[in-house]
Amino acid sequence: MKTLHLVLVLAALLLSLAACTVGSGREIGIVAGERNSNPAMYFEPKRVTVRAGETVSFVVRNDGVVDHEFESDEAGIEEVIIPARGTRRVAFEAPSRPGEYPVYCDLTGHRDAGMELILVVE
Amino acid sequence: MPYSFLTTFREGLEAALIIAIVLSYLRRVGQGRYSRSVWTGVVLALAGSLLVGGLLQLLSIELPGAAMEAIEGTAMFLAVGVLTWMIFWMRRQAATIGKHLRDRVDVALKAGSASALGMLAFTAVGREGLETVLFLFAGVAVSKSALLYWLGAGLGLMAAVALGYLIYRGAARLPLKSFFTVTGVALIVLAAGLLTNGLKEFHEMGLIPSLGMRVWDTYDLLPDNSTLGRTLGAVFGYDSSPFLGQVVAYVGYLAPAMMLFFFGHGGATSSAQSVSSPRPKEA
Repeated sequence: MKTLHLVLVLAALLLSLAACTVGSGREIGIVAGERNSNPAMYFEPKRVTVRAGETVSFVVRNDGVVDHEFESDEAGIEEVIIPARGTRRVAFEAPSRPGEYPVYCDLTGHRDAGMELILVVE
Repeated sequence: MPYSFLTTFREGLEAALIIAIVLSYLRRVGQGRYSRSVWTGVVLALAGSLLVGGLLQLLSIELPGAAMEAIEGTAMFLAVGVLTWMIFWMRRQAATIGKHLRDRVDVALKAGSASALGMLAFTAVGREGLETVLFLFAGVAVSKSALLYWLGAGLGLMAAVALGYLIYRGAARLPLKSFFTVTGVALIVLAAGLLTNGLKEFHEMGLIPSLGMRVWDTYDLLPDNSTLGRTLGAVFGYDSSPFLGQVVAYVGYLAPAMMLFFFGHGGATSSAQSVSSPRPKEA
């Protein structure tokens, strides 16, 4: 009987984990990639505005030929790899404090090459 | 709160699994005294993560992504090394159990084993410890309620530890033969996941220039940035779009390790008869 309880608890836990979806709320499109001009790598648009506490989904498309990341320790966005030519959806609840937060690619050299956008929380 | 809960639960789960299996094993083979080395590794890793994380936060020093990846990748490869040693050491011991001792398993650990076990516990806990601490510190600044936030983090850690404890208790009830088989297989799968995650970290920091092409993309089926995907990633090395090098390393480790474990000289299959002797007394 105890084993059955354990299995049920684990199943409930897994279901609750699976229930946490990766996208909801307003969709915000972001394009990532590389180009020959300066800066050599980019996120577009360079500024994105959300309301404090708003739930949004970033749909990040990588038009480049190398992988990129999308993350922000400051705003609480966990690292997501966007494969070259791939698209990833990132669910996000905006911070409750208004301000400007950097969102960037943390792969070596990419942020320095220009892969940063500013998330404005109003 | 759900965010901090899920972060600590996910990151704590893999460490809890490894620690539970190792402690359970030591107890079953009558070497409970080595548990101290394991706990020392756990405490040092937790204290180190909190200390370094706290200092960096206080001094407002941002650790570059490459440094974080170097720490995690190195810890993963170290853990794979010690886990592999542990798996095959367990297998050798299993082969001799019952031959000399009818009712009690009592194997001698060689010199250095205690520090290796301590190292395993240290790398298992410390691997994601520092990153989790830094991420939690960063996240609390933008949370609605600091109290709920830290409560969630504490509960997540407790849930991971509770799951580890359930596994520890459950493993203690298994017949010895099943115990060796189940824990051996679990450790091999965990080690294979660590290996592929370690490769990814080293690739991200540019130490491994290429891991080949991406072989499939199951992101639409199970996104690796969903909670379930991230949990499976932390425990089994799940990646929705892995590189060929990761897949080759995973299979290249898992397949021979399983073959050796089950069919090698004195493996789980051949030792099945020898460990079917009366159930050992618990130490």
